[in-house]
Amino acid sequence: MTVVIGSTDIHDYGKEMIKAMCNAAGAKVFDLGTYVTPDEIVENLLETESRAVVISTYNGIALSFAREVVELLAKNGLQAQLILGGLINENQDGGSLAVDVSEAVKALGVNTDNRMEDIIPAVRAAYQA
Amino acid sequence: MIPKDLPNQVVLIDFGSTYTKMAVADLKTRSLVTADHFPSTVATDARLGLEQCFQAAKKAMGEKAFRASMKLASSSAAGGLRMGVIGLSRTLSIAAGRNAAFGAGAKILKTTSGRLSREDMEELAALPLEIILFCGGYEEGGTKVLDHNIEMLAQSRLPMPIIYAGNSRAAPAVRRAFSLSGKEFYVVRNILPDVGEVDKVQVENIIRDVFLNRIINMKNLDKVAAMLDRLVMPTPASVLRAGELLALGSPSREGWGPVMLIDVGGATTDIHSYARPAAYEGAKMVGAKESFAKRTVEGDLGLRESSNSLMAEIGLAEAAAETGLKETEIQAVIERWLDDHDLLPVTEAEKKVDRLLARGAVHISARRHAGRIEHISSAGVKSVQHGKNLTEVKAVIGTGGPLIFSDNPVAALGSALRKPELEPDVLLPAQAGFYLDRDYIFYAAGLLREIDEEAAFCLMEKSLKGVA
Repeated sequence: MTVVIGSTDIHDYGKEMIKAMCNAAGAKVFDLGTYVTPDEIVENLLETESRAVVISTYNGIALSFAREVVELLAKNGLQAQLILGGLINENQDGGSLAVDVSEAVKALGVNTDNRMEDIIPAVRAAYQA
Repeated sequence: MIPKDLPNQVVLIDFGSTYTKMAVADLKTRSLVTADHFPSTVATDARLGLEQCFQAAKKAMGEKAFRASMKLASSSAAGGLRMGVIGLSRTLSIAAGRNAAFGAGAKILKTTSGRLSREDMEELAALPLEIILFCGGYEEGGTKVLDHNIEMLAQSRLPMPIIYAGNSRAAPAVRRAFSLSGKEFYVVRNILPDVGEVDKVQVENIIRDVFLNRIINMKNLDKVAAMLDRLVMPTPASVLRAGELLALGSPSREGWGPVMLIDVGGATTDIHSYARPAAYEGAKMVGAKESFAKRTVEGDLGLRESSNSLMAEIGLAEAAAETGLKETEIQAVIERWLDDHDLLPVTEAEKKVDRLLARGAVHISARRHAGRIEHISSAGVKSVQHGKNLTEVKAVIGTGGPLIFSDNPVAALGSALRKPELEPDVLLPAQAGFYLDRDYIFYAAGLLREIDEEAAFCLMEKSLKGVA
């Protein structure tokens, strides 16, 4: 079982927690670090064949980011499950405040359960799918 | 300090496809004794060209010194080392594989990504490849695509050696499948061991070894081996090592810092850069880690054999506007050069086209070599850097006949610079000093570096002439 992890911004606390949990669960973790881009995720999936990508986000870009990752996964014929955690929000409809976009992200097929204790089962599920 | 067992003088030879070149270096004075070149005889009997070089060396240094001298050689004969690279993702294993192949002195005729298709295999089989570099995957990653590619290669009739430098989990399958199918193959350390890491030392070494042990024999150079102390490495690898020394410096001499070396030829244009990988204005660096010394070869950009494809890149209408010639006049010149690669420009129209092609070859190949900034909006970072940041390069050096003998080398070398207002995202220098390798000495300095870095460094510095 291998997992690609990263964060969309400078905040890496959540990513480090996920890394520790995945390591403890016996997964091989490929840590892309902070400020990861959708392209980087897909290129690394092509190299690792990981079925799960766990991304931590905090900077109000959750929906745009998830949408681009999902599009790139489809374009490259990749089956990996995107698991997005942290602050799943983004400005919507020209508003000046970021709002929760969990449902919209979930509708893309992304796991937005956002619970640390559910991460490992979700990664395992990606390998059983 | 020269090691005690070294002779005072070293004869340095390069077996090229056009010329067999010779330089004699004096290790005590750290200077060039003589340099010369003769038409290549590699296609018939390499000993003939070498004998001419030796006669010229003897004349300059004397029979006794010649006998006592060490004789080292490089080779780029018969089109150099032609390779194919098979990898998984464009910016990671393929980029790392291509960089390693270029660094070892090869030119790359074909690159494939992901699962090998039948079409990929047919294209690989149709090309005159001498080595295939097969890579992909981090350590402990998955191997499904690698396993597929192993089977495709094992079942193929590709006769050339295959170097496997991918995920070591797939190495047993490589050994089993390639042994059973009778392939010549080599398994080396993974070129891409983990995220952010590149390990290309072993793969570069094995490419050079395969080149020297197997391919040089096929190229009729076996007969000269007894006349030399050592065939050291492919010429481009030697030039790459020379430029690296110039940038870094020798134990007692300060290096030049970040530099670019440009070699425009009839068939190809080589760009070398020597600079530490660095982010441009805080951009996020993505893709396989770049190396300090980087070489790329553009097989479609050259002034004679590749003049047609180079002109296609420049655009005939732009070429006509820039030179003031009619498109038909330009086409006529190109056709003459395609027919006879040895022609030199004589008429005013030919000189104009030659200058234009030299500028175009440098302009395009420098931009293919250098990194660039991409502005993105869907990630937490606003700018992403693909490739190598060369904005801090202070010196651009021209080598190869077309630049050394150009009547306007500054215009050609200047094409490597970026115009910040027009191309702000191209990571080339905006300003730099221009130099010419007037003695055509870099191949020799790379060979000499193997035994005496101080002499090699001095030889280059003495050859380099500033042009403005």
